[in-house]
Amino acid sequence: MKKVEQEYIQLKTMLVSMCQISTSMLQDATKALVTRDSELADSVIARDDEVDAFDTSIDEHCLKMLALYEPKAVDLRFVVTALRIIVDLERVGDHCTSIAKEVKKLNQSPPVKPYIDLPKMADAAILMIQDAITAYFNKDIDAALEIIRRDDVVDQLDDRITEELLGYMNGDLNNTRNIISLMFITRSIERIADYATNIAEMIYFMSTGKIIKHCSPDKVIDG
Amino acid sequence: MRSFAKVFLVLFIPIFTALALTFYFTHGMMMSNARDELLQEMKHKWIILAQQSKDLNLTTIESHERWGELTRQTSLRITLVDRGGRVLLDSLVPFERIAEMENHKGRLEIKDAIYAGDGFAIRFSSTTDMQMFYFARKLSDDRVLRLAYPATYVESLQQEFTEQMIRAFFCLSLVLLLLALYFARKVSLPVQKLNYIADNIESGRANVHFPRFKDPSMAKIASLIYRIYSSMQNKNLQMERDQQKLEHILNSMDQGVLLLGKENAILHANPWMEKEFGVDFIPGTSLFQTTNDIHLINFFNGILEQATETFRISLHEETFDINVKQVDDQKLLLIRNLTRQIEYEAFKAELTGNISHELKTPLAMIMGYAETLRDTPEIEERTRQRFLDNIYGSSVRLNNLINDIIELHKLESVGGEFTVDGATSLAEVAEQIRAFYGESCDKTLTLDVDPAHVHILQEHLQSVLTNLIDNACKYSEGNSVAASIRRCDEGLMITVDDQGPLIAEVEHERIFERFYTCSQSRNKQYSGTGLGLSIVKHIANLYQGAVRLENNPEGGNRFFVLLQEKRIMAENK
Repeated sequence: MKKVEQEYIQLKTMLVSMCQISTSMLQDATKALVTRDSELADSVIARDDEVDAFDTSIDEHCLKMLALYEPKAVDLRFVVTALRIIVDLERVGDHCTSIAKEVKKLNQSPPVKPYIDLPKMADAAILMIQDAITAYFNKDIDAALEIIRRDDVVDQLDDRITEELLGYMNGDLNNTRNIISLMFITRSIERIADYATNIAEMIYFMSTGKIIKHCSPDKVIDG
Repeated sequence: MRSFAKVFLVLFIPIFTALALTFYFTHGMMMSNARDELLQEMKHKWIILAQQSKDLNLTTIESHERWGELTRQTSLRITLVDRGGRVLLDSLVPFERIAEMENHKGRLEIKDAIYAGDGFAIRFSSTTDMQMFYFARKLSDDRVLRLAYPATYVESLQQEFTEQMIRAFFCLSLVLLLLALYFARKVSLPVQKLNYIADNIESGRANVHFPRFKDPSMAKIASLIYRIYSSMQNKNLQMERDQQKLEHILNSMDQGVLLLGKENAILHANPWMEKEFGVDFIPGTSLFQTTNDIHLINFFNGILEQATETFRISLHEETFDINVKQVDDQKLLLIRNLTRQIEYEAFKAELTGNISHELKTPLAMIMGYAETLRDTPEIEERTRQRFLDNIYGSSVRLNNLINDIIELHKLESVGGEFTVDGATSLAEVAEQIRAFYGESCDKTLTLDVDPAHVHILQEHLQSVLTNLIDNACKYSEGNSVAASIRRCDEGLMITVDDQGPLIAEVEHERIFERFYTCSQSRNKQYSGTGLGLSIVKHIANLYQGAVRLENNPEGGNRFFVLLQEKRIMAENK
């Protein structure tokens, strides 16, 4: 096997590991909220360092690849996209840390409401991130457009949960602090889904060379 | 052929070159000797002529005549030249024209004779119009006497000698060629045969032909090669067989075998791997090269990062048992999907729990009532009777439960391995059902039956019908139960209708599970074993059929059971 191929494989495995840690952080942060497990929330906060370490090492790895092998065309876009993906994954890690901190605060007082839609929203965001990375490896533009479409589902869940939380706020003003925390968590998850959308847009650019930011996927298909 | 040419050229070229050189030098030497001899001859003649000194002194017409006669008879040209190069006498030129002859001081032989005493030259003479040998020597009176002789003698000698030499050369070359061909063939033939053997072995051709060798040494070498080749062939064959066996074992294994080399390069993967993970494991490529699914990459990453040899790992809600063996720089992964086993174990635990729970309920009632009866002899007759009825009822329920469990177990263990020897008359089955439920059921039973014979075991048909009709009689609040057994395109369709109450739609699937009983409102009077419909479903599965529950137009429940006749099933196969 050529050295350059080994470098691409290493980039691939490092990206998967980074994605795995970021998504597991969101999963565990949500679990910590539902099960009121502050220790789990602490472990999520601790894992952010791992994501940062991956961010640095993938960054160095990509720069080394650019310097040593001077990739062209699709290969160049592949490496450049990886450099941009890790920025988004690192931000996902940061959001998860913020969620975990909010969860720790929330766990100090009785639960405001049963959490049903919030885990669903987190699961949808996790799946979007994971599918985006798979689509990146497959250079699959259809999957990328599908991920962009799925952001609407997360947005709808965000609206619904926010609406519900506002209702709770009107009902009991004493819980305002906790409800604001929950709204912050919801907004963070919505942002994480947006990062998945960003990645999907980058995949589209990587595969076709076209920029589709600020366009709906249906318009992209229509041309 | 190449070796033949090589040997031929090695033999022929050096000998041919040596021969050609020998001929060339011999020819040169001979010609040189001939010239030397002629020169010597001319020297002798010069001495004889020089002794005729008085004649030489007389450059008269008489002496010219005499010398001219000598020239005509011997072809020897005599020229007398003074020190200044002026020609005094020339036997070949008429006497009166001698004075007109050009000065000879520039001629090589004359010049040499004047300055060195002797001079010799071969050149073309314009006087005689031919190639001439010249020899000149200074006389005692400083004049130079030159003798010239035509070179025709040497030329004809040279020509004759050259012709003979060429003839001899060609003859010898021909002999040499034939000899070289003969020896080249003799030497190269065994080499060619060995080469032929080597080429055939190298090309991997089966049953390589070994030619015969006349030379005993070569025959010995060939026989040694043959023995080594045969032994290698046998070993190869054995290895191929072993490899095929191994391949067959690996292909038929119910677990994944993945052998990884350096940099996680795939060395071998059995078909189970591709089937299970849906990825091509191409030997020679990296494990992560063709895999793009993030979960799968994570899964294999997780396996490779594990420090222990045996562990469990999950992928897409399935659990895998992994065994890693490190052999030098290679890694052997044995992957087994435990999901079904875990599910089966959970199911078994649940089933055992259900059975023990269901057995305990009537048993507890029997024990309770029996204990009361034993400890209270003064119990009222009516109460005693009621208790005994309850004991009996619980015993019947226990008996039914055990019978159902036995029947279910029997159906499970039969699987598809049973035969239907004869056809069952549907009318006969219907008659028996009518006779049984005519007395035991308080509802009107309507049976609509095709007067046909089907290849389904009578006991299975009866079991399906009794379980469904039993349920309808027990739980329906209506007055009638309708059953129909009809042949359709797909097979035999059994339907049983009751008049409600309706079974909730969410329970339509679960009602066919073991020990699942409907909500309390439906079976408040009767408690079943929860196995009846499971038995029906099992029988349907035995006949590759299906079960379904729908609502009927009368507001009741309709159970559909489709059975494919055993004969039709066999024909379909």
